[in-house]
Amino acid sequence: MLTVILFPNLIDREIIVLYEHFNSNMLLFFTIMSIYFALSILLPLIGGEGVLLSNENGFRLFGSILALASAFIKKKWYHGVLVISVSKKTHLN
Amino acid sequence: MEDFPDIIKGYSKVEYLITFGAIIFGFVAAEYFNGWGQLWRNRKRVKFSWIYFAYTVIAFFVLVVVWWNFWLQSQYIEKSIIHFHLLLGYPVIYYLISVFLFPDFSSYGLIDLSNFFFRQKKKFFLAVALFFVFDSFNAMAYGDDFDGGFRVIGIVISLCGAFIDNTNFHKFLLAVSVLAVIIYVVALDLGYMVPEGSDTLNNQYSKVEHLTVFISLLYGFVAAEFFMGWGSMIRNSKKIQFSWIHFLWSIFLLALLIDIWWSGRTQLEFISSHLSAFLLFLAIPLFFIC
Repeated sequence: MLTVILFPNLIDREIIVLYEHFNSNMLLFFTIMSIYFALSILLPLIGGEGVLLSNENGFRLFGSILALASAFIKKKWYHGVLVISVSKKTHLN
Repeated sequence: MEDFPDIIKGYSKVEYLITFGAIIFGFVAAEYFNGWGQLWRNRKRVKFSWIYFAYTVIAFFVLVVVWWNFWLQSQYIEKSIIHFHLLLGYPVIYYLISVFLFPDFSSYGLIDLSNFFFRQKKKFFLAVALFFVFDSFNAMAYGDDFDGGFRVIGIVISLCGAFIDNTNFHKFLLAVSVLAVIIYVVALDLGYMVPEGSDTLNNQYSKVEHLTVFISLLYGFVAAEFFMGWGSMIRNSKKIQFSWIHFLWSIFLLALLIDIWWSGRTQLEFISSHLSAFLLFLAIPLFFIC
């Protein structure tokens, strides 16, 4: 879902401004990401090895809320800072 | 050649043969992700149908179940090349099913999925019936007939679907199909249909290995989607206006996919013992990221 939303269909299209494409699909993109992070809290629990209150789940819950909030913020600078911050955090994990 | 050892430096003949089969299975499974992706990309000219979409999901889940059960049959593929050919019949039939199930998106104009489904239903359901007949034949040949009742249900549903045109009947048939899949998964998980055997076939090929090779191919397909997306953007660089934010989000998603793969190892023991967990752990990350 997320790659399909992120990469536009370039066939039979004229000029595509990628940020505009991202901006117009932002609500869907971040909502799906938010649902994914929320579900990823439950997956290790189903697996029987996870615990509900853990640092990882705290991070996932934060990610879910942040993604949902980001769906409604249109500022370009915010998304620039956000993507660098979350990429750094994911890399450090 | 007859005296050639079955295991070469720890690598068994079953592993060698199954790798090839897994690539074909993975390719067929990727057709479903590709088909759903195309449905979304062409959403402006696609008229959605729940019946159609539900059948694509059921078909994908049955394919995953086939791979799950394929582990037990993989012990036969090393016996002769005929056994190997026979078991490769599964992905061949399943590829045929995916061809009938997804429309040709290269054509122009509106794609009405309901009309498309009812136009294709005869070919689709007959291919599904062929799959169940083939599976029954294999099960009888190898004496693994632990879920024969479900194959009979599958053949009956397929034949009804192929020859009955009524829309309401197809809604009913869909409900029966969903119920049959759920009962099958639950029965398998509760141990009602588990054939006897250990977690490793002939001490050579483990179930965890079997499931991992399939999952890795699907993750590989999703990772390849990133390369194709970036490649398409480079090829069409003259008609796109680049955005760093867009590019960085695509990098982040690939990093997230790699992160999921990195941490997924801890779940392997659990998913290899429960089909429902395997389905969930396979489908959820791939559905979201893909």
